[in-house]
Amino acid sequence: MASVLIVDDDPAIADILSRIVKKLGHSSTSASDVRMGMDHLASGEFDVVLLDVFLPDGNGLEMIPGIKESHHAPEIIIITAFGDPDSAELAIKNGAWDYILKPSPTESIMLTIKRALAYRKEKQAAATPRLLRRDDIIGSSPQLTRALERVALGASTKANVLITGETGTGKELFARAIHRNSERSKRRFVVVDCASLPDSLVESTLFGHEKGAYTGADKEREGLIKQANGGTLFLDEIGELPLGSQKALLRVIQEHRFRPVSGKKEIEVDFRLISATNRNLEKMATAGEFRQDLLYRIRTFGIQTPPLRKRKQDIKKLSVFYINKLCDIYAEETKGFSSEFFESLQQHDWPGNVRELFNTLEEAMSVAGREPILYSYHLPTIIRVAAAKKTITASAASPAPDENLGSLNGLEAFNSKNFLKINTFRDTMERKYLQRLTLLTNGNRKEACRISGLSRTRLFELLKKHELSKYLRKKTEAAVG
Amino acid sequence: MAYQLLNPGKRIPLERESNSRMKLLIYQPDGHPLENVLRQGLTTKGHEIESFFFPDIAALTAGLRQASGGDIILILVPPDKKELSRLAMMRAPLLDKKIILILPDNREETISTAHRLHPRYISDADGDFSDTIAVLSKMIGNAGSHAPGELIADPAHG
Repeated sequence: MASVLIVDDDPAIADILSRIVKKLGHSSTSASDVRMGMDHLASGEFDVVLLDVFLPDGNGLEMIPGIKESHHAPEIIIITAFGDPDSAELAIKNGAWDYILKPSPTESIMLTIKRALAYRKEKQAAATPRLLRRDDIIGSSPQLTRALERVALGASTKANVLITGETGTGKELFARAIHRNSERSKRRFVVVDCASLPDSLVESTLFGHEKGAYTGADKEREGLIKQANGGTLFLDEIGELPLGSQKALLRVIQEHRFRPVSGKKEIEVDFRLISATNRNLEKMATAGEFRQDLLYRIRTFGIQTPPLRKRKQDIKKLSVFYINKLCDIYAEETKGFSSEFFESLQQHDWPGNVRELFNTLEEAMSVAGREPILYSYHLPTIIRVAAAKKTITASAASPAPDENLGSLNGLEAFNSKNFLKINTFRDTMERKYLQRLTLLTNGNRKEACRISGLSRTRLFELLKKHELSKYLRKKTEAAVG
Repeated sequence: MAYQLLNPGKRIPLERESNSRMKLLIYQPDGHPLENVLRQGLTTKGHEIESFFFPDIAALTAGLRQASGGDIILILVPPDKKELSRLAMMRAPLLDKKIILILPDNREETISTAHRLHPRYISDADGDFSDTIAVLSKMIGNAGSHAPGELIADPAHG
């Protein structure tokens, strides 16, 4: 089912068009003016826009460039009054797919919409690259796959891309992947870290400056925008760009020309723009902290990077990839992994996303030194304690369902026909006891011995028997905290 | 809030750190003026930052390994185009790090090689590094998990 946006200020016409779209089996959304139309385009994905020319707040034809560069780049069909051939001609010249005369028979409108949708389907099939160079983007979860499909689509267009997602989800990696898969891949990929630039340096860094432009500018400097000419300009953390500089940037994006600070001559430039942010630019625009017109321009095509907690199935692949990479960099033997190592990683929620995972793996590898296998005790305490707590909490919430004991909450087990062997019962209770003991003592071996009355050797033996050694803190850690 | 620059000028070997304190790893030739700017230009208060200077790429590689985990900012001052190319060749250990790159010259080829490292900021070796200090200050402020702050540059260095 396709999605159609109807932009017409005449409610009767909008209603007729809406019913025609519905009859074709598609959905429609209506807007009565330019502003509302652009808002819908920014937030939704449309295949076709039915666009009136004369609207209360502007001319529909002026919307065409914005629509073509919008999120989904829908096909445009102009709705023009009979006897207005100039508008029709102008519309086609500006890139509209077709036009519909008002009034027109229903069949004729239906046919035009059908043709536009068929054309769009073919165009999309041809545009999607068969192979995507993913580089360091690792994983096969549905969430990541969906995002990569967007990367492939984004790379095949010339549209400005806005990548949104939490910190550490790999927005820059996605930006690089778009560049590497685009027709500009042989040219420069220029990063601008908007969050790291003090306000006083933003414009000279972006646009460059002439000698003597300000105190300390003792020589001419080329800006990053010029350095990106022919290639891709990546504006990371664009939400941090000062409002004053946003206006100057908007002009460059619109006109592809700029003037260096204190420069007299304008410089023409051709770059593909990719921006990224972890902030809600819509909200910022509403609050007057980010220019709405700039937002329209930069988010022609949107990609959302998924947080790691929503693609936990990728953790194992990511870990193997990164550890192998580290081994390669530092010329070490490839390392193996214990299953409990991955179990502990799976239990964590990774608020810092892939970046946090990679930092953790680096620490684990550093702790492991030349040991050939990574165990969970190589992981930072905070990860292991969180994993232990989660495991034990889950175990307490569902009393030993995997141990085939039935209920041990009352005396039912003792009345059951499946009366347990005493060794099975003892083992299970022993395991539960040790789990609670390590949780209570936060893995502190000395404290665990004191409370349980076990000797150190016996405690280690029991923990090893029940595969719970991973919950015991190492000696050095216990000494620290 | 401002920051403490611990052991400015400390050289390898690094002791392994289990905490996630921010670290500055600086690759520069011996006697480069940036070292003095960093020593003199950063005021110490509050937040803890450690800085480590490495005179060659081999030492830097070892330092990167030992400083694993936590936030790392790299300041790379290759003395010439050849060393810059060597850094670009070893991209992998540098790619996920925040890099401030001080270029030996402004030739087109040098700039192209520089962008292969995806630096967060590029400056050149001819200046007084006041821009570098200002950017570094903001980076450290952003990385501090609480509130952005600033490193205060020595007035002599802008």
